[in-house]
Amino acid sequence: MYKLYYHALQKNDPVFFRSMLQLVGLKLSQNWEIDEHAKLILVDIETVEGQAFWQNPPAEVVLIAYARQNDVQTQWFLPKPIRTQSLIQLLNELAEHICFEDKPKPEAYTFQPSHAEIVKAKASDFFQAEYYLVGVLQRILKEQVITRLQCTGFPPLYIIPEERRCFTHQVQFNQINTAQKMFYAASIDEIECEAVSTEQLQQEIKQHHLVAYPIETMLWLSAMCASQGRFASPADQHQFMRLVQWPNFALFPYQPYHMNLAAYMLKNIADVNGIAQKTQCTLEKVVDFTNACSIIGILKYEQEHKVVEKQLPEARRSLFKTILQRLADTVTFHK
Amino acid sequence: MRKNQIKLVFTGNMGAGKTTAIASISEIPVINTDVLMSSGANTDKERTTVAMDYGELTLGSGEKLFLYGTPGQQRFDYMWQILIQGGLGLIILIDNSGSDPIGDLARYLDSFHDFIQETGAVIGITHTDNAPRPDLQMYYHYLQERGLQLPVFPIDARSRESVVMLIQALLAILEYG
Repeated sequence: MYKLYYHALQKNDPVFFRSMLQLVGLKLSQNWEIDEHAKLILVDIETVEGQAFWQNPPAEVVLIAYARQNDVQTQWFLPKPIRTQSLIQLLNELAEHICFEDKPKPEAYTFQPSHAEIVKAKASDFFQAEYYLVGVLQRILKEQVITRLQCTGFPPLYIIPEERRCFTHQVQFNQINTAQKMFYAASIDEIECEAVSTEQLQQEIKQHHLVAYPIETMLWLSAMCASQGRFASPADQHQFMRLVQWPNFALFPYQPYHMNLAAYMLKNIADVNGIAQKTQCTLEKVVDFTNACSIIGILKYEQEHKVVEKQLPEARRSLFKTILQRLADTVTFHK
Repeated sequence: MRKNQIKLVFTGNMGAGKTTAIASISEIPVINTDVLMSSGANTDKERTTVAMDYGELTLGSGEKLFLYGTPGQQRFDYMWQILIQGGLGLIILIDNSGSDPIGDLARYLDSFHDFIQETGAVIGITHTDNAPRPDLQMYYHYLQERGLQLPVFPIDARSRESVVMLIQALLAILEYG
């Protein structure tokens, strides 16, 4: 049974909310009940009381903003007035993404391979994600502990696994420099991990004006930077693969050739060499791209090769190139 | 309007940001035929496009890339088929704060079905900052049900980078997809 409660709801909203929950019950993926001890709380943030609660929530609760507009830009939001469709969507997504079980949580991130293992992983011809920042992020998501990651010389990165968000200083995605790439490619021994409380996190966010990013953005960036053209496993060289969905390039730093790779891999099932050949990308770039897609869960391996041969007239190819060049004139892509 | 023009067509519901998107990349001020909204339309917009928006971009070769926006109100949808003739592809903008955004998308996919099959399309979702749902996964589920693999990106129609991203994806589909 999944549980939720509410705070600072006005007038008839508590009654209305309970009725709506009963009404939509059959359309929900899980059973839900109202329980005053629930860790999931709907807060009317348009009230003074709700706003105060939102700013200083109790430890270990997940808040859902209830308002006319999502001005606080939170992931969990229920628009006013409550409508059945929006309530169904919200609760089903919450059931999918948030773990409500009262399992004991580890104090902090604990995976610590030996120095020799790390050196070996870094020198390996294969990309072992667990030895890099990307692997640390994945593990934090699994362990569900709010964590501060710190690398010497770089601003801290705060991970809130339950919300699949992280906070850090503003990142200019179209101007990622070599130093920042070093951070995203950091190996596990270069990263200090520390569990932090919700209160500490809120304080840090306010004090340093930290900016929220979806965790997928950091997973993508860290996989891209750490991969360095290495296959994740020897078998990857010959695996047929495809994408199940477009990477969300609105969230991910990208270069124009990533678009070509995505378009090709959505339509065709091929191995990395075939993909590189058809898209005129280097093998290393294809491997980095497929590693990042695998990390964010949109890459699928297939048994059979399936390629649709497309004959595009050279004049058309040339036209597309001209258009892209013209568009690039005033837009700087991520180097 | 010459049939062999190099052109991109922007479509989408009223208020989705077609005029703004074209303006963000056009090198000329967007030419449009905005009029005051009729009182029957359920929107906060004061003006809407009744015939089309028009912008252009001069390519390195000296040729022009024409940018057309379809009229937003459905009663002018007879213009749609005229505007898409000879188009490279379609950019569909959906206002996520509308009452039924996925229904809106369905309408455009139906109306432009043949054109999308022949060329390609990308989908830009606007106003996601104040209307986060439906989220991208819901759009992808819907497209999957229809057997389509079109890209869906949340965008800010005012941002040139957002609009360029849509065009890049569209051209990638046309060349590699």
